[in-house]
Amino acid sequence: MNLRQSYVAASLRSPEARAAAMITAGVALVIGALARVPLRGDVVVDLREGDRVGGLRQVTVIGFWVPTADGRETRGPRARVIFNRPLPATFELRIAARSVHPEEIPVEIHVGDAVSRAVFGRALADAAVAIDNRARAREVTLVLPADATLTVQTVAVRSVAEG
Amino acid sequence: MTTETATPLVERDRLRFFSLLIAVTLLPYILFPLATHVVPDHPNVHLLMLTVLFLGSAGHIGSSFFFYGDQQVRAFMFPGQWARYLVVPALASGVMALILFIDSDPMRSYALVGFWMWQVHHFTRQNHGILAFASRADGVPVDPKEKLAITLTDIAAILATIAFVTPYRNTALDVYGWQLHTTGLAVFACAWIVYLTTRPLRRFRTTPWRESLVTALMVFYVPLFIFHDAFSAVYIYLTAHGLQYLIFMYFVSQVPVATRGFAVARLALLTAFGGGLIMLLKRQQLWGDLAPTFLGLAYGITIWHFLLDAGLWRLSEPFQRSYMAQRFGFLRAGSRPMHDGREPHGVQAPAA
Repeated sequence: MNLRQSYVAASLRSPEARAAAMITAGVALVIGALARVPLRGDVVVDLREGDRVGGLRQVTVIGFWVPTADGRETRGPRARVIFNRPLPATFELRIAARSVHPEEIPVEIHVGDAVSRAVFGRALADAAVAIDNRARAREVTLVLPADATLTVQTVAVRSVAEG
Repeated sequence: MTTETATPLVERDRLRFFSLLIAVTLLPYILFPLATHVVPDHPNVHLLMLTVLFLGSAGHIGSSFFFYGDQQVRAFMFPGQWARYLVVPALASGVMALILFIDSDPMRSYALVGFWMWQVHHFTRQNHGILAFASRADGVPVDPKEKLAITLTDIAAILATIAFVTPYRNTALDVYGWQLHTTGLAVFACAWIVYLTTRPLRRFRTTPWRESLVTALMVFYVPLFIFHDAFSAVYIYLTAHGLQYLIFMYFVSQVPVATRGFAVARLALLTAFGGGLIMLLKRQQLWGDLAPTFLGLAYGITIWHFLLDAGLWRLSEPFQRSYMAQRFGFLRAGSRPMHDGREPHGVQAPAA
C-alpha cells in the first residue's frame, strides 16, 4: 500500500486543503485574541436556561446537572462556571443559590487565587463578594463539602471601576 | 473526453439525478424544523420525520454494503484488494467496539470526538464529489475557489459539531467549546466569502442545475450556526447526506439493466435491515452491561462504510472510474464538452 497515494495523504497535499488550513489558523488566532479581552459591564449567567452553543454562549458550566425551573444542582464537590473571556480586574460576584442537602452548606468560592466563603440555607439567597482579579482568571469554582448538593440559580458579575 | 451529443435517455437521467439530489438535500431542511419547531405535536409529520431520519442515518449505511453483492465489484475487491475492503474495515470496526468496551471515560470520549470529526469530513467528501459530478455533467470546470469554499465548510462544520454532539467535555477540549464553535462560525463566513468571489449569480444563468447544487452544498452546514438544539443543528445535515447517498446508490443499482429489479430490491433490503441492525445495536436498554460495546460496534459499522466509500468512489482509480461511468451515463457520453477542454473531476470521490 502506497501511503503517499492514500486518501489521507492526498487530502493533505491538495492546495485547497493547505489554503483552508492557513485561513483556519488565521481565524483561530483572531478568536484566541478576542478571548483574551476581559469582560466589561454586567454579566448575568442564568443557570435555569439550557446550554447554548458558540457565539451565543458566554460560559461553559461543568459539575452541574441539567437545568430545571429552579436552577442547576451541583454534581459532586466542585462546580465550575467558566467564562469565555477573562473576568474584570475588580468586580462584585453575586451568586443566587439554595441548599438541597444538608440544610446549610458552607461554600468556598474560588476565582483565580482569591478565595471567598458563603453559607447557603434552604431559602434562595444571594451571596455577594468583592473579587480582586489581577490574575485575569475566567473561572468561578464553587467547592462544597463532599456530600452536599446546592441549587445555583444565577451567577452575576458586576464590574467595579479600578482605583 | 468524448463530446458526443447527449441522447434523450442520458439527458433524462441527468435531469432525474440532479433534481432528485436537490430534492432530497432540501427535504430534511424543511421537514425537520417543521416537525420539531412548527408542528411538534402532529403525529404524521413526526412519523415522516422519523422515517426520513432512519433512511438518512442508519439506512444509508446499510445500503453501502450493496457493493459486496455486486459481481463486478467483488471481482475487483477479491482477492487483489481484500485487505483494503475487508481486513482494514473489519479491524477498524473491532477497535472501535473494543475502545467503547474498555471502561474508560476519557478513552471513549476521545474516540467519539475522533469519530464525529471523521464523519463530518466523510460528509464533505461527498459534497466535493457532488460538485465534481455536477461540473462534469454540465461541462463546467470546478473552480479551485469552489473547492476551497467547500473545504472551509468542512473545517467549520467539524469544529462546530464537536461543540454540539460530542463528549468533548471529558477531553482536553473541555473549556474550549465556545472557541471551537465560534472559530467554526468565522471559518464558515470565510467559506462564503470565497464562494462569492467565484461570482455564482452569473453562473446561475448558464448552468442553473449545477449552481443550485453548489449553493445547496454551501448552505449544507448552516443548521450548525442557526439552531440551539443538537438535533436540529446536526441531524438535518446528517440526514441530507444519507438521502443524497441513497440517490447515488439507486443509480448504481440500475446497471446492469437485466438485473435491475433484483438489484433495487437488494438495495432496499440492505437499507431496511442493515439500518435496522445498526439501530438495534444502538438501543442501550437491550444490551445491559454490554451496551457500550454494541454501541461501539454500531460506530464500527459506520467506520466500515467510511472506508468502503473512500475506496469505491475514488474515481482517480481506473476500475472505479469505469464502473461509475457505466452507471452515471450523463458523466460520459451525455455530458457537455468542457468549456476549456479539461477533465472536470479534479475532485475524486462522490461519497468518500
